[in-house]
Amino acid sequence: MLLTNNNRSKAYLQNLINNNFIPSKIIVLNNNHATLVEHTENDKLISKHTKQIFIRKLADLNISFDEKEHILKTIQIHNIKFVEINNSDVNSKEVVDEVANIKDKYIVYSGPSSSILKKEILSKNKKFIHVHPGWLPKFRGSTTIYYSMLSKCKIGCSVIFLEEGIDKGPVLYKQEYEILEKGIDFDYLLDPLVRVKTLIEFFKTKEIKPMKQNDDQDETTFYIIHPVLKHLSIINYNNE
Amino acid sequence: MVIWIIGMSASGKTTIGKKIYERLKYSKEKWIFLDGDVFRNILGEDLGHTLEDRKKNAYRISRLCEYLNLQNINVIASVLSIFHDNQKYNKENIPDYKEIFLDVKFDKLLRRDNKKLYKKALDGEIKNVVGVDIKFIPPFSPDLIIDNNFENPDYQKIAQKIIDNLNIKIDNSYIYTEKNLLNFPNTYQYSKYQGKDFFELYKKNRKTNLDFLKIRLEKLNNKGNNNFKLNNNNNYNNDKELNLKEYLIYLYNSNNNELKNQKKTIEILIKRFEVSKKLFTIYDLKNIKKLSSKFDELIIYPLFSLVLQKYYSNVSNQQKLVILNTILKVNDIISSIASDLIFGEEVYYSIEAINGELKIMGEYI
Repeated sequence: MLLTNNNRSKAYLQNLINNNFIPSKIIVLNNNHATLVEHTENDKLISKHTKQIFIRKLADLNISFDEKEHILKTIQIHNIKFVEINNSDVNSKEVVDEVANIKDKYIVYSGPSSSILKKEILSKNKKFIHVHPGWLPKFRGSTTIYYSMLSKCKIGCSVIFLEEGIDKGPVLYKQEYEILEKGIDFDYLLDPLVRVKTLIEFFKTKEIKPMKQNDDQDETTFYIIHPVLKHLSIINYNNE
Repeated sequence: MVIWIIGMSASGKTTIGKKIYERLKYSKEKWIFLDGDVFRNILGEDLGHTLEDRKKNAYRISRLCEYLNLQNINVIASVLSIFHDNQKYNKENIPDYKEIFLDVKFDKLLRRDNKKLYKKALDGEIKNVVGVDIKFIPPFSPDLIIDNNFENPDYQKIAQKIIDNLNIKIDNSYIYTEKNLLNFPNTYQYSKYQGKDFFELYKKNRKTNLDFLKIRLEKLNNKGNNNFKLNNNNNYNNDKELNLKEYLIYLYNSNNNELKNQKKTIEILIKRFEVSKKLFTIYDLKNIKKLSSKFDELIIYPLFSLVLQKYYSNVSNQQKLVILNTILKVNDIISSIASDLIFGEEVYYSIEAINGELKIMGEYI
């Protein structure tokens, strides 16, 4: 796995372990001096040694994670082989070298939000497994969870291999969700939890069948959502 | 002001405290949120949960609140406060101290027990849990009691109730146009949810800028400057270069069919804008990459917005969201630089662009 300490990585790691899918090795991007945009106050304030727990859950999907458990703590509890890199740039030489060193072919990817893997790291003969929170190829790009809610009141998730070109790699698994719980946070809760649910379901299929994405006439690339549309999406969803 | 939210574990005090903070953080007053558990952690978890340690922790929080309050920093503190002498201390020492008690029955707390604290305490696995082996005595005279016994409480509403009850004035504003966005572009990443009132803030922002620009236009008109028609200059491109202003004028004057023919270029321009949050004067014709680093030809922004508004009516519903998203961002830029718009055509087309956006948004809100 290639992880950085954010809610998505915490949800991935904790749930994979709970389902007995134990990674053989984890590359951890952990720059203590960098605050990522997706960090919560728990990432900023809580040291990795806290004994406190804070369970975030989504009853509709029957899935949860402990937001206050730093990924390094989870790794240590379960005695998983790991390497910690003091850099939050996925394309840095240190990360590329570590990726090249990994023996396995498949790497589950959950790097810092909105970083894009460049040619060099993608050319190390590995397959990066990524969960995109949008139904592909219809919902490509950024913050698709909001757009999808706005246009069809559902959230799609697609497991793909990362390739050059945004969200254009072959699709391994897709799932669509109708979420009924109101008042939930999209960025820090809904997004990581629908992704991890899809990842686990994909793992349970125990097969890797990459399907090339068809060029859909209707495909759209979305860009980071403006606050007005974001509010529209959340307010529509909550029927406020 | 110090808002001291008292409640047992799983009563919702952290969630409510955070929701209040989310509402107040955009006001001009300074607010911070202080979570009792996080506070313990910041100080290195040197205190346990015995009565004696709990008391020490409570006084630490009180003294910190007192200190911050003296510097006009308002605090929302979520604490499992069980000591009446500590609450009395707060009342006597913190000038604008407000106490909120979250009243939740123990069987409800047990059901919500996310941290499994009560279960472990009842099973005898852990000690010093308030409500099990440490008795919880509600505060004597809270300023407000909130009944939080309902299933799936609406925390947003509870937060609002507290804010209204304490008569806190929210000087909330639309924060996305406060700086000159050409110098300090917005990334819009992880933008915060500001509640339903946000649309009012947004509309107020646009209307304020509209009024400002209309006054400016009137002054320009009085000087005899009132013909803003932009005529096509057929030379918007040569073999290699695309002159954005001329191209946008061409698109602005085009019919829907001509506009559809330009789909590809328009979509690349959207992409370029979304990445850089700027529009440059010259692009290369083949890849639409910028050839000039000049991005302050201000007329380009309202023209781009107007072209997108025209294009908007020609695309699928899904595409409409993409276009509208970009229009909102371009118009944020226009709003953020309104006072820099001094030429008649810049002012005139900016008014058109904002009016057009408000008209489209009228379909949604």
